[in-house]
Amino acid sequence: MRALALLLVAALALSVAAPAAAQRRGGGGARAGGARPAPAARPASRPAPATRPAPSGGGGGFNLNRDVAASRPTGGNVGNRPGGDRANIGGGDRTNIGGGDRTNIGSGNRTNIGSGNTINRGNRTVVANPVYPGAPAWGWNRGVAWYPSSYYWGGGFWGSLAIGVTSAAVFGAIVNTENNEKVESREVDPNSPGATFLSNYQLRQVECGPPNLVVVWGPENSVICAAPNHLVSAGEYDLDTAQLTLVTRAAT
Amino acid sequence: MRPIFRVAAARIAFAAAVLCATISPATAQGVVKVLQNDGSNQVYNNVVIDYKKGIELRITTADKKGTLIIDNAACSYVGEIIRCTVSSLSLRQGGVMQRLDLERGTIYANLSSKRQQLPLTSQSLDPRGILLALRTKIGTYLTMTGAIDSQAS
Repeated sequence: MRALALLLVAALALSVAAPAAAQRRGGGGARAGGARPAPAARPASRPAPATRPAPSGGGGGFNLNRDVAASRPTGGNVGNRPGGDRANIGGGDRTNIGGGDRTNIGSGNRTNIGSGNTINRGNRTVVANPVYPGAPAWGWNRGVAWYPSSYYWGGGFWGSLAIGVTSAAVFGAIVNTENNEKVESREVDPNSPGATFLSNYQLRQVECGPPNLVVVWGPENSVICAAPNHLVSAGEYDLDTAQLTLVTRAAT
Repeated sequence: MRPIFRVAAARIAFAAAVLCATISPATAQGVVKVLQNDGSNQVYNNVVIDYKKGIELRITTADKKGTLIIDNAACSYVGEIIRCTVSSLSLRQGGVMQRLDLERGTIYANLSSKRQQLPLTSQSLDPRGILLALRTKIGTYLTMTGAIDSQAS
């Protein structure tokens, strides 16, 4: 029995020491030109194709010198957008952009839906989400804050359709009555947050253009249209992405 | 062996067995591959992947001299997998913080306790598994595979 105990204690010591040794073996430096990965990382990669070695990173770390040279200095203010709104990854605790109580949906000052204690919606009507009524912010996204990405139509809310990549997915168009701008609509990706929204309200997306539709203005001046149903009547709505709720659009 | 020592030895053995089974030290098996726009490439083994929920994802070389920081992304769930469209990438190296001009990038991470299949692919991710692919504006491709070594809420 004592021998068994000693054996197990030895195994424990080895299990703790092995990763540290692997880390030391890794060395951290870049292996240029198709070098063989260290044993500890073998499952993740096959040898890269041989190319000429890149200049060293200058003392370790990542060799991204070209990108550093091509990028503007940040002055240590890393991660902040020009607007100063530090977003986050996968976080459910930091729901506000801009640090205030406001959730600013859409673009410009078109729509400003208050949250927290400063709700100011005038005579606009909130159509509560049937699936997440009264849920905390981002409850629909499991508490993970969702932020628009400028590279995608609608900030990626309706799917990962990159702006300018295709025109095949255009799904009608509508004129924004606030600025008389013609806005094209696109088909919602089935795996997108926008699809979750449509499903919650049991809405079926239709091509924009005909009258008497549910017109939903989403992030980044995006718009989709749906057939009205028993939950949502025809009209124009703004989408609150934090609560995934519809708010009737203010008359202009 | 006297009975009292036999019992003590059995308890020690049991405790050691439990410890062996449950301890999961940071293994730092992440691999970052960088393909430069001139065709050269580098492979960084044993990078450390730290995830601070709601704050940032940090990828540090094993020599701790360089850290890539992603602190801005649009995230949503695909099944149990979190998918983020990266919109900010920075490099902390040599005491300098530098934001890099990112063109596009995507992260897939499995924060659940079970192995998850990535949609529309044969690829799956182990618990804490993470994939990253991004391209900078000058044409540098950076990919990463591995597991999240530390996660903080």
